[in-house]
Amino acid sequence: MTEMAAGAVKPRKKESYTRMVMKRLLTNPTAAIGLVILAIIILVSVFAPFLTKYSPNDIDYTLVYAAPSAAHPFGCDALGRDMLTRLMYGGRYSLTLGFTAALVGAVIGVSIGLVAGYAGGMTDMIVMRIMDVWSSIPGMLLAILISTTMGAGFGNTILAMTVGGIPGGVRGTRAMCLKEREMEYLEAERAQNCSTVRILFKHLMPNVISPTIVGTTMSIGGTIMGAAGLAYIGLGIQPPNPEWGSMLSEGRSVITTHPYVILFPGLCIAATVLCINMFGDGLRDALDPRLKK
Amino acid sequence: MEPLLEVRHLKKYFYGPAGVNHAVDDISFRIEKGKTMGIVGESGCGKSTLGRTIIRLQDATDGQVILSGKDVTAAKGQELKKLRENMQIIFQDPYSSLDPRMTVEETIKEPLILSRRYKNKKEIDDATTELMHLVGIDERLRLAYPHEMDGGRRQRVGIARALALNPEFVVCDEPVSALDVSIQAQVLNLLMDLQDSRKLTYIFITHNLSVVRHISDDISVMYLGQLVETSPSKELFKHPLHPYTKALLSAIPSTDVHHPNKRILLKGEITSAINPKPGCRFAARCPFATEACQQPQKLEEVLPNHFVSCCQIKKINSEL
Amino acid sequence: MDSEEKPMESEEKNIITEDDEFPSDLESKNDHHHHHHGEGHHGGFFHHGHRDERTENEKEEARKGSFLKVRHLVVEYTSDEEVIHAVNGVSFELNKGETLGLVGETGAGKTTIAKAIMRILPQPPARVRKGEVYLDGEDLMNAEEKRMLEIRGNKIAMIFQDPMTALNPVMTVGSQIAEAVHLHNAGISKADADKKAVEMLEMVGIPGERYVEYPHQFSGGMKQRVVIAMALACNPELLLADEPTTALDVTIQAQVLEMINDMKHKYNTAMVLITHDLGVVAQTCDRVAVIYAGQIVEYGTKFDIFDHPSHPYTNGLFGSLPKLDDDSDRLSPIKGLPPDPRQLPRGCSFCPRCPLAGPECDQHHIHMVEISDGHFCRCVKAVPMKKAEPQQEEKGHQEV
Repeated sequence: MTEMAAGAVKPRKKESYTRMVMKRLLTNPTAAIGLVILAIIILVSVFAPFLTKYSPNDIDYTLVYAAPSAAHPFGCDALGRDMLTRLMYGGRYSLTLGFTAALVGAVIGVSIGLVAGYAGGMTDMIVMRIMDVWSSIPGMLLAILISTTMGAGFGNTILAMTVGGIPGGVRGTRAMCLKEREMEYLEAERAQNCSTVRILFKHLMPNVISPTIVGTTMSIGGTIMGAAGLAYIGLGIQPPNPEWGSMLSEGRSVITTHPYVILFPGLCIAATVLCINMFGDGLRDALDPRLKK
Repeated sequence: MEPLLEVRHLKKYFYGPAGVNHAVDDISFRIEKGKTMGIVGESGCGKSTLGRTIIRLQDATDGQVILSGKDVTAAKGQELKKLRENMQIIFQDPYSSLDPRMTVEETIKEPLILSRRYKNKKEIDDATTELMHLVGIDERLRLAYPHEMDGGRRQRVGIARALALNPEFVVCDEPVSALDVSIQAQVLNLLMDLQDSRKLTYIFITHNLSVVRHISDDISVMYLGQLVETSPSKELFKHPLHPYTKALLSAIPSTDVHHPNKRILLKGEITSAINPKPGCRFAARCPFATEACQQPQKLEEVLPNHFVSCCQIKKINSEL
Repeated sequence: MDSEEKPMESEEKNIITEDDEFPSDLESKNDHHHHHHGEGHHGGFFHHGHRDERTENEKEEARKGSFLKVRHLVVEYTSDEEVIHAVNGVSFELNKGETLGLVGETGAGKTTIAKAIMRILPQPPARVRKGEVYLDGEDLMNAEEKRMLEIRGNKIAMIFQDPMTALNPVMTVGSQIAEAVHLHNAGISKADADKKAVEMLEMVGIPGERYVEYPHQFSGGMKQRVVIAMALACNPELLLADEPTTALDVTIQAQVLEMINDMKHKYNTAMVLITHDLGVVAQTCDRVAVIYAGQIVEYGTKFDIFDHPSHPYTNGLFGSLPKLDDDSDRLSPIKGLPPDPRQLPRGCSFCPRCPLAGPECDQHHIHMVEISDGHFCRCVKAVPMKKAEPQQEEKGHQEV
């Protein structure tokens, strides 16, 4: 009864899913470049103490706004602190913030979205109305509110950014679920006594998560910029902690005279966000078994 | 002989903003073990809903379904789980009935894992291999994804999945309608072979009358949620009694080039079963409709084993 | 993809040959006595293995004749670095008032042929590698796009397969029909175009007042009727119907086919009907071309094909059908699957699945053989029959 027909599928060795995803990611040039540069940025931030002899808080009044030189490749800031060092350490804050807030927001958002999208009916309606209210508050405003009421600082900034990101995750996932729930393979699972939880997380989620993955990676960039924005206006992460956004803010006043003070933090933010986006696109493509190479 | 499946006055209504959709309205029939009941009808007749309601993918609004003596409609909890393993379904669309992110192996394994019948990985793998062999899927497709295979192969995976737990009863919901003609024949033969070898009982839902005649022992014709005629297959094609059945059969374009169809053309379109008026729902398009047709119709045995739901039946068929 | 079939070099493939011929029925009847001497004969296309060395006059003659002439059509799709050989040398002819059925399964290339005639294939990824299409003597392949715009919807109309997606959901059905009228009747007033649209709706059995409704307010069958009304609004001379009733219920299909037939008779429209349903073919077509892997494998009148199917694929198709008058237990499907159009087998495309396959089948391009007057079969086992009476049941390829 077996058919050996032309156009049949090539026999394949057992290949683990992760291996396949990695392979597809790395053969995508944009994603690979983004990943590599991002990895470099992350590693630099993590190993900052070993890469620079300065400390981010080394004040030197003789080097105020020093121009880029051999000793200080990115110049110095208002207090004579080495910019490159501060950027390296600053990466820890910005990256941790961006990733944590986006990921936590996504996990919570997707879970709520899955339940709302699959259940439909009253559950869906209630959840969506709550999300409507939630998202009607502009993200920055919400973040500012949280920061001012609960105090600034690293932890609260993460909280603020997470909270702002949840409705997006819920909406996106729920929209995909509404479409996907009509699919017969989910009915087939029910016919086999599959529990609802397993249906949601093993079957439904992987098939609706692609846009959310892209959305989440994009939002990492947005979160980093949002945190930078908060710091810019004095909320969020407080000095003397080196955070890219606050460094941007500090450079405001000398933008015409010493543009490098604002340029390098800006470049860091831009480069990081760009790499995250490049990687995010590649990841979405790699995760989709339907997409041809 | 006790039938394997008995459906008694089954109803499934959907309540929506436009009104109540009487998708399945008072359907009754029986199927003996090892036989196939074909359910035919056109879009909107409720045949898919019927199939899904029988196996409790949807809860019935009223009526009973008895499988091997057990009441499916009333079952709950563990009992329902056990019953579910005995009644499975093969879907129409080979493109949406398989999880696109699961390989062939994973799809077939899933019911085996969920049922907890097998103790270890090896037993599950062996069972999977056996099932693949049973439906004719080559071993090298074990790790293939649905999108890498054609419709016919995907459908075979769906069949393997449905048979994984050895059910006695399988609802086949238009299993070959989405396939090319030559692949249809392969899959139909497979279904018939499996029925013989495993004593399966089928409900075969389709709109294709030639296919249903080939595979069914008995056929029930549905129109807008109502059962209009039911009889053994060959009998239905030899003596269609209900005016809808006659029109349906005459509409099939025949491959006889020397004798063109004399088609009975129905006027109008299929309406809907939302907030229906009482009585026969076909009356609006029926050339023989009278006042009496607005009364609720009863399914009556007009010839041996041949039931029709039509008050005008004797007038329409002079031989009765 | 599959290492068992070696890909052929393009020169060896089945597809690009000048010598693959296919005369029209009318021509072959007229020139019947010339057939076996036929090189360079005006009007006759039977060139056994010769390049096209016809003179300009002969080419001119070739252009005239049947209303629609398609010759040696070859269409490819390129995706990534792969070439998909969708249509591999298709030729046929059609006269006004006739219906040609293009029968084949998914992927055989039928829709591509129709779209190539209308020149609506997106190029890239599609590419019409070769081929000529003449409509009423006019060369369509080389016509200016401006001219094609005039022709589409006007002289040639197409009915697409899926009525659900063929209509614009945000325009009323009336305005969609009126738009077609307006485009091809310069200077017509809006009121007149609307009036014509209402007329067309009535003609297809839809009450004129539904002119102002949107597609989603119609059922599948009615939508398809609207699509047909749109197609016929400008009295096209050629109608390309791509599986027009496949998505419809059988009783609605009967209505729609009846209606198409009426329209055809009224306007003497030529029609190419693409379908996989042999029943539909039997009831509506005059001539049939059976398509497999982008080639016509059998061609003839409907009586030729249904009474004397010759090609093993045609026989396979008939064998796969459950018949209403047949009580046999199992169907006789064709084993295997259709070939991958990226790697067509050498020689006969059907060879890997053919019960009659032999050593001569997979080496060279297979030519059409005329097995009886106007009935052609692309099979080395096909033998010309004596003129068969309709009640004889012989199948051409069994006579060896």
